[in-house]
Amino acid sequence: MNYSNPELLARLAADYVLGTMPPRSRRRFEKIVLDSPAARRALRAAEEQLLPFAEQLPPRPPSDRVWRSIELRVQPASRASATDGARAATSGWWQNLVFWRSGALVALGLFLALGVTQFGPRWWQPAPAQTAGMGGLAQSYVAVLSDAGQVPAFLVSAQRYQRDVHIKVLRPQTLAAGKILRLWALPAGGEPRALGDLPTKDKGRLELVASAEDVLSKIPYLAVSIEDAGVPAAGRPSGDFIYRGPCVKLW
Amino acid sequence: MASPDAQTLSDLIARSALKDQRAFKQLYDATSARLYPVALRILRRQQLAEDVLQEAFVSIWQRADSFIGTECHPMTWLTSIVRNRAIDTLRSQKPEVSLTREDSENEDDAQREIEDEGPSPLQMLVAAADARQLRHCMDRLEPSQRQSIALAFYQGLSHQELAAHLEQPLGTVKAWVRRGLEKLGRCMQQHAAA
Repeated sequence: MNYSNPELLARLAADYVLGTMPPRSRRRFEKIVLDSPAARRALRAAEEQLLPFAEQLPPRPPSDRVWRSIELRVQPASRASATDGARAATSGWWQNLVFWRSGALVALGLFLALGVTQFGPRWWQPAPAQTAGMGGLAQSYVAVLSDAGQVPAFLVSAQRYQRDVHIKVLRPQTLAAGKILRLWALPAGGEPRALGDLPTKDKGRLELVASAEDVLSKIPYLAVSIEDAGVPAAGRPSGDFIYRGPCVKLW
Repeated sequence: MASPDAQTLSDLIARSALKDQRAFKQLYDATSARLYPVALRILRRQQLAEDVLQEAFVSIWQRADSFIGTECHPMTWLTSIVRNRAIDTLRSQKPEVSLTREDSENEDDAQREIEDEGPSPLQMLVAAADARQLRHCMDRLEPSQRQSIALAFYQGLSHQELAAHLEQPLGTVKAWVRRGLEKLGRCMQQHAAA
């Protein structure tokens, strides 16, 4: 189709705004709009013409829960690590959980840890275009790493197509001098692969050799070992893993 | 109820783009009662419509900067976000919605049958045209064209649902919508130019 034809664009835009356009065509039209100023103008014109018709709908306030849920999701991310008091309360909550083995519940815990309690029905569906910030969190790999007593120590997350891994220390770590913490990917039936070194408090970041999708898509678990500082991040872990957790796909 | 003042809303959106949470709350208070019915009418279920409204406002918070410089009427911009999300949700939820609609024991019934309350889609379309002094544009449409546009706009009916609802072949209904929209668009353009 020739998308530079203004009449065609006007017709598509009206069909889109009215809502009669089928879902697949909607996605296609949204992509055209991203690329074409003429399509954007057509869409704008159709919206200005048709959307004011919505003003005739009798007003009706939504229930209070809507704002409460929105408010939770628009708080700054730093809220999660706000005051000491809040942190103590959070860690008490974390420590009461004895069921961290279940991947599903780990993911649920993550949603809460990130201050997000409500996701709309479309949240987990693929974004129509690769645009940022579709409705909620970006598609990511995430893991909560816990000790043998199932007490979580690290929150690890990486956006699906990025190389950066973000680490949040849930419980500050004390190490002997000359020691560091190393993060490992544990492939099913393969040798552990070193991913990088972890901070001992607050937050940190490490960079993968490729995108998280390439490195983590077939990794069921992540784990942490104690290593000698200055020894390159390769080879095998020198001792037991002190923390581990399932690596789950957040989408 | 009159729309909230456009300049005030534009300012609130601009301040939301700067992550001013108080402005964002004011924006929500000023518009949510008008935007919620947009989603509710299309989705016909309170829970689903509230979820969509919530997602839409999170999106508004995240995308508020994209409003600046669009020269859109703020209410149009806000409505488009809510409506697009509601339509996408309706299409993706279709099987579940139709299923529960048939299951008339459900307590959501009163909300689902919301089209029986208040003005009909056609009445709203005509009233909206009156409000915008576009009655002459509406009068140029065939009754079948008006009816199908009203049902599609206010209730999110797809071409197929329109065909079923109006008991007409799909091709006929598509032509009604298309010709109706073309006529309406032309007339509104002339009206705006005059």
